[in-house]
Amino acid sequence: MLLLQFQAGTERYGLDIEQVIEVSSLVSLRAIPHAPPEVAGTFNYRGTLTPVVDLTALLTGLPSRPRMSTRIILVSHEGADGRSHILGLLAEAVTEMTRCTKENLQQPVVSVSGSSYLGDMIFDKRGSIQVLDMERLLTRDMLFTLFPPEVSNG
Amino acid sequence: MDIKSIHVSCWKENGIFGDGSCPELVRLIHCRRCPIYAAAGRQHLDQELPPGYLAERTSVMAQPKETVRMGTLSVMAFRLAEERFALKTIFFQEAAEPSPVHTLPLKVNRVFRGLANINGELLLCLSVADLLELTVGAEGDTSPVVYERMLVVGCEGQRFVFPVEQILGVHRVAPEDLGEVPATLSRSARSLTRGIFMLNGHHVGLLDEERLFPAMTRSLNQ
Repeated sequence: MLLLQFQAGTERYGLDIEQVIEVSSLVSLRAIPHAPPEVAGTFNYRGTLTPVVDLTALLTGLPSRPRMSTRIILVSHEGADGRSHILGLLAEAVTEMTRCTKENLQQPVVSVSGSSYLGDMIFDKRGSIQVLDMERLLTRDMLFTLFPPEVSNG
Repeated sequence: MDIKSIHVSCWKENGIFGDGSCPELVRLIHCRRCPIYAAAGRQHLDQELPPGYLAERTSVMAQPKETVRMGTLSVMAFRLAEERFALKTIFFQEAAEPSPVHTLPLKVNRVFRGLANINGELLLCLSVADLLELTVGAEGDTSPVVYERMLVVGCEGQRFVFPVEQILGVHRVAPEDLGEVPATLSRSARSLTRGIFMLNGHHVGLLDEERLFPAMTRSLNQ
């Protein structure tokens, strides 16, 4: 398994690259009024209006700082309408990939309610990396906000 | 290992850009394999955004992604006797400045011209233009500028060098863009050409390496 690393606060996290479509550099995002603080905005990703969730804001409560290494990870995500959508994940220090095997993954010992997306951990020379579970990353409310189910007019 | 505690630009002091006294260099040979150098490179990316960066990247990401067509061939194109030809890039080894060709008594012929010294190595020099039976056009006004180069090609240990009028660079060709070889080409040229493709408005003949190299070898024994 290959992990795309990023940093939130002082901790390092990883995403399985299976779900990653592309890593984009930071672009200017259009703010969404009244949106939750984790939703950074939307942008035109190759012709598709794509919402961006700020992972730093989600994990630490502070927004990502604009840096060269702050990037948007584009992943495919199933929306509330049951279809696959492109979702942007804004994260800091997206500069490295790590190879890891299933045997090296360790189950997290502490489980906090509301953070079921925090998955297994691996250790390397510089410390630990926690793998995020993409399927559980967005709460149900967030999913409805970003990819609302189609409303039938009938 | 704490990266920050180590001197930030050690590669300039005792590394590859300094006096080379770093003990790790014996094992790593170059600083680019060292984790300190890699970490310093990544820290470079933690800088603030330069002005205009966001606007430029926003417009780039709004464009459709440029994708490379699958199954394309990489070819090296060159000009020979006012015609354009190409050979698969994997058989191309080197482009050298023009150098004198030394004839071999009783051995040379119209195609095999002799030996050429390419960077200290003696290589068999052939005239591919004559192998293809190309005739230099009488009008001679197509492209008067000639940037002559010696092209070194090789296949299965055999190496040859031949002069070309100009090297047109490496290009990618999709197999579906390869057209039929026109009947107007000379017999030799037709048999040694795999297909024709368009490059900047000119027809380019893709040489068939499976026939070209045996034909080159045969020319030595004529």
